[in-house]
Amino acid sequence: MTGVSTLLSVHDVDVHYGQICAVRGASLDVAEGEVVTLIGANGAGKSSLINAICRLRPCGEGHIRFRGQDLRALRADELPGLGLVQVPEGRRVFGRLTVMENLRLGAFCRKAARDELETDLAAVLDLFPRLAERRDQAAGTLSGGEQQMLAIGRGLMAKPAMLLLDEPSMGLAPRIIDVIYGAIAAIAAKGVSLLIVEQNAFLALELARRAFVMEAGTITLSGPAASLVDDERVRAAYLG
Amino acid sequence: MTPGASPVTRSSGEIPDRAAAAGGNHGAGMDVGKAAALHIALADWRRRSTWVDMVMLALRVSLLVLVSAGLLLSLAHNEYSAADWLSFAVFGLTLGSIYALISLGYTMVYGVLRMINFAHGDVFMAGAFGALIVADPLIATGSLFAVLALIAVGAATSAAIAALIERVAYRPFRHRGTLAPLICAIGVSFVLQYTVRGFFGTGSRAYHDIPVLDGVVILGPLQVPLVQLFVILAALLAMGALHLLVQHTRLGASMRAVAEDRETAALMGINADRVVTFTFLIGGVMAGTAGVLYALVFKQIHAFMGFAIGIKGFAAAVLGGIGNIPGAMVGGFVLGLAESFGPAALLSGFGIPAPYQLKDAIAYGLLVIILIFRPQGIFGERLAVKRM
Ligand SMILES: Nc1ncnc2c1ncn2[C@@H]1O[C@H](COP(=O)(O)OP(=O)(O)O)[C@@H](O)[C@H]1O
Ligand SMILES: [Mg+2]
Repeated sequence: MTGVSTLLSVHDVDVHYGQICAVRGASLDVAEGEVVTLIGANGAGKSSLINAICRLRPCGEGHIRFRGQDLRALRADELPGLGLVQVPEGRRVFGRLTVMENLRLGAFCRKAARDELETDLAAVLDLFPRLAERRDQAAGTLSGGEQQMLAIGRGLMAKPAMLLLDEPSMGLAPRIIDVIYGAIAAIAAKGVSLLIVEQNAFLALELARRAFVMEAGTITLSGPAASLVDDERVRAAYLG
Repeated sequence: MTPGASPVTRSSGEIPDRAAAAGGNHGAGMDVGKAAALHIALADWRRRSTWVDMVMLALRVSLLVLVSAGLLLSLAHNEYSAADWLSFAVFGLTLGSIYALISLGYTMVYGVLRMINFAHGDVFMAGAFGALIVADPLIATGSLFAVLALIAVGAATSAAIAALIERVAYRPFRHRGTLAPLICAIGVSFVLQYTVRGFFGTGSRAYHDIPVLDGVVILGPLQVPLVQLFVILAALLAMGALHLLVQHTRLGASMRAVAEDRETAALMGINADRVVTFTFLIGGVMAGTAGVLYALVFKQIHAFMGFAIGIKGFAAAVLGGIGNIPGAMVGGFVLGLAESFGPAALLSGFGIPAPYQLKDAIAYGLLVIILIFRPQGIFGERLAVKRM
């Protein structure tokens, strides 16, 4: 990775829920323009780590830096303005708001001119034409796949330098997963850094350059995605 | 909280009830004898329901009987003319406008924080008194513009007080998960009441007469006090503005987002504390407007009026389905109309002397009745349970 600057760096982070320790001593890093995946079984602590990065959960010692800035001094709502945006697990679209309202809220952190926002909206609707058909529908009435498209589109409206995608394929049919991963690849191709959290790791490993494996709250393996695909343990646990 | 949680448990008895009724209809259409199908459905319902469901059903039936009897007897009595009924309607809308404006503050705060601001009635009262301070010189100018300025002062007073209350009394306790905010609300309520009493005394106060609003408008057989029409119009304008703000601005969208999912709203860069402050501000604007309008119609205000009227506003919010903005507006009007029609329409038939004395009994009776039939309120959703 020489010559490429580190965008996100997480070092020795713990996350606790009361007495329960969900993440212990986790470290990872993502470079500018890089695609990285964090894989692990259900309950391994992936979401907890992502939420600690986004300041939705307090974390213990250690540091979380984005472009060198310590995020631990900031509130969750200050991060999108810096270019760090999470697309949360389970999509979490605003069900009573329309598709367009959801997308516009994605740009809440920006002080962009109207034309610029309209251009970006058009780009998102171009990426997910299904959303254009449903633009004035309440987001709660969309199918799971459409809600995932909306959640990603909403994240893109913030013009992020980096997207954290928490299980974007969760609960979706294989055909829809292909559509979603096609869009994710297109986003990566535009130079947005990605940290993709997945349980079903095959597509994520295919797209990512590097991968981290999390087990029971600790990161147990890391390395180039291509070598992890061939790793016996990873194959057994996550690729079936 | 209880208003959200109770509907789900209580309404469970209704589902087998309806299913059984539907089954009965279905059976009737087929070859199976109608009576037999009905018998099976009834047995099925009996098996599935508890004694609570039976009591609720008995309650519903007896309420329906009582209300219809009162209505029919009153109509048979024929004590009131058509013009009387129309003037009841206009007065009910006037009262309803005021309740609706107040209930918006309860419902918006509940929507965003899942908390009842029990000091809101006193925020309403403070608006009326805030305007009283500047009332004399303003009214002396004699223009309609002065009345609007009066409303603006009342609205600003209430908005400032509501936002201040949130900042000093609620925010520090918000994440503690205790009854502290409730106790604080009651404390704040007393502070407001006794502060106003300290400055303005215990007795009733009033704005001077406002000549521009003094006349009556003659609509056919009906003489409507101009001030009532003014109040209805002003309230409708305020609610229209609120609707535009909530539905068609970025700020409004961020408010709805926080109400729905606070964490995800934060991920969009929405500062929930700002949204909460804003919610209290506009709730205060509506309450302060209501305070001045109330003073214009009833021509007397006092330091302790916020409690009873605040409870009515809260009742209107519950009636409409707490957390639901259009619901609060409709709930306010329903309550106002019930209070103005109810005594004549339901009580006079039973030969009760001076039925208007019982208007509060009607208003709260209506609240109980609606909640018995529709625990989640008129516009409320079954899913009123906390989503977090
Ligand atoms: N809000 C919470 N309260 C208590 N424990 C939690 C909470 N959220 C997650 N956990 C626990 O933390 C561990 C990690 O959960 P999570 O981060 O969601 O895992 P993953 O995203 O990898 O499936 C699990 O054991 C889970 O039960
Ligand atoms: Mg997870």
